[in-house]
Amino acid sequence: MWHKISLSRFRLMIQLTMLFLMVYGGSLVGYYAAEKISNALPVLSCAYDKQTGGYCVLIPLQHQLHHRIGEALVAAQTFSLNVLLPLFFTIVSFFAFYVVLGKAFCGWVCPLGTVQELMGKLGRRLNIQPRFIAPEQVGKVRPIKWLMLLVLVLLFPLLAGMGVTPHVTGDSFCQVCPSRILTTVMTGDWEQLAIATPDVVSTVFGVVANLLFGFILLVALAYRQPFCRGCPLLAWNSLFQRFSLMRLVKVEHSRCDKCSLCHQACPMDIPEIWREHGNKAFHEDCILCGRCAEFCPDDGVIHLQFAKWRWFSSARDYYKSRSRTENAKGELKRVSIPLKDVQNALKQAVDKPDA
Amino acid sequence: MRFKWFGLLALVWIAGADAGDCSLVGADWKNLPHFMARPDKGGLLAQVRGMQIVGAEYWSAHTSESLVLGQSTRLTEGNYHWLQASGDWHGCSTDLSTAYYNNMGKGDAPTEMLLLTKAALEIIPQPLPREHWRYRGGDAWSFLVRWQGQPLIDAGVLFVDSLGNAQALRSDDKGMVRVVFPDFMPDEMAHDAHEAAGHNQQARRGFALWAVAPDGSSLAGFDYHYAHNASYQHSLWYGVGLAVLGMLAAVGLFVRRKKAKKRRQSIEGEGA
Ligand code: SF4
Ligand code: SF4
Repeated sequence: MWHKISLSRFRLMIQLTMLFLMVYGGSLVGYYAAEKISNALPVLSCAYDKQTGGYCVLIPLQHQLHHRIGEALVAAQTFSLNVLLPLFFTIVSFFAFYVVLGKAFCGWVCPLGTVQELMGKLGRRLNIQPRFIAPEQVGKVRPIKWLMLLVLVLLFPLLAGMGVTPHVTGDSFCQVCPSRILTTVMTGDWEQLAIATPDVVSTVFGVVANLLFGFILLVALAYRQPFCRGCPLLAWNSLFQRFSLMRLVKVEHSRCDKCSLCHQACPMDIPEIWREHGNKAFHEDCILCGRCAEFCPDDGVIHLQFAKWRWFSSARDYYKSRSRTENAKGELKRVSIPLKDVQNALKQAVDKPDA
Repeated sequence: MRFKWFGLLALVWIAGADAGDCSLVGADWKNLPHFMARPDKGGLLAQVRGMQIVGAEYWSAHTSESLVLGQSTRLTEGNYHWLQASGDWHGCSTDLSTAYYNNMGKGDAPTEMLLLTKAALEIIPQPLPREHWRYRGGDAWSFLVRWQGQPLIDAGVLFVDSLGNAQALRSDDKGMVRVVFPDFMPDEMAHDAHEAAGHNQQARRGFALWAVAPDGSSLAGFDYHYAHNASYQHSLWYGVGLAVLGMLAAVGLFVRRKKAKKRRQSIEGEGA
């Protein structure tokens, strides 16, 4: 299969289909939450989008922390099953999806991930030079996603439920999520782009959200997957990464020291894919896009694996054909046809018009 | 667009179209019956005021049971419920309905439940606003008018709300009526019992849709609420401006880096 179509192209087709389903799929799957693909998808498909095909897990997670656990704590109830059951259902349905596809949700399904990637492709076409985060800098960016998860998704909704922070903090992450603005604007609905002004906290959230949305959208022309690096869903997904059937496997290889192509290819700038092997190479930041496996020039070093089935493995021949149009960094190669060949072809066409 | 107190004219028009004993002439928000439903002790407390009740029933996605008005009812299924009270209003057989949502963590969609035939004359939201959504001022939503289970074409429908707005509407060839909710900014909200601040502290007002059976034998009403306009206390222009500012910051990042790189290259060139 991979001789006929590259993994990247195959992934792009899936991403575009999923983008359609996540942003406009409500007309196919149904209108009400119970009819959606799931209410606990591990991707940023926003419930504020009237036509979405499924909801992001962060909505019920924040909602339950806010309205059930936080409020129950204040009412001094003991943690009854009634309070914890919905949270349990959310995590179980998320987990059911997650065990099968794991991090592939980030690299293959998430609408915001896809749009950032498309912006990156546009950037290459516009000749904007791709930028990378150096291995010694990545460590500074990595804690952001955990902070976002702990503070915006878990802490603030709980505090809002307890009445400590204002009501609007009950879905703090949604308030700043660029996917909320992006996916609704994509359906022609401008409402989420408007800044709420009833109180200072709402306005601050709105200011942050819109600045972030504008920034992420254009910075993606040069930096690959800028929002993914701080996405709380990446952190949440990575908690379950080791349980997933879908995984990235790298075996130890002697030539890696002098290579680093996989690291250059990685849209998340993960140096571990080059420097480590085994569990450490499948890093918490990995979005299972498979670019590292595509651009590894050696046979059978990096694999995309579902349970025991290695459905894509690095291979020299594949690498050679893949790098004809694009290098590991994502820069497009100009295919130059010598002028002499063009002249000859034209001459032949003029001499023998029927040929 | 304001429709205040145009109700009477609308009613004359509707009454003229539908011959029979039942009519909505003289009906307005204040004298029409109303359905109230709210959470109570982990269940539902439903009440109807303004009409003599013969019976009441509620439907969930898979079940239907009789509803005791004025008493807390424990719902066994989660999500959407349809509440209906039958009785007499001004000597006319009347079915009044409302919808009620309770989140029990899980529950089915109301698509089929809404379309079940529950009365001879019905006004059915198509769809009901789902979770994370609501009827709002300025928005347009559709309702299906049915008579004996079939779409009722060219039926007169009266819209009234708690501020006295009224619209006379007609169903299309599929029996659908499109309601554009009047603009609503909370400072003009009337303080009546029907209008509590809702789940998201959204100010809301009551509205009702009413129709007369083609043979004039009965009336049907759907009583619910809508929230303020989406634009209330929201600024799209500030939003667009801030997004553009974010974009400029991103562009600034490339340009600065590009210039720095060029400078570095020229210094290196001079040094060589
Ligand atoms: S490590 Fe490989 S699969 Fe993971 S994000 Fe980087 S390139 Fe993609
Ligand atoms: S591309 Fe392959 S050979 Fe090169 S460093 Fe990565 S794993 Fe090793």
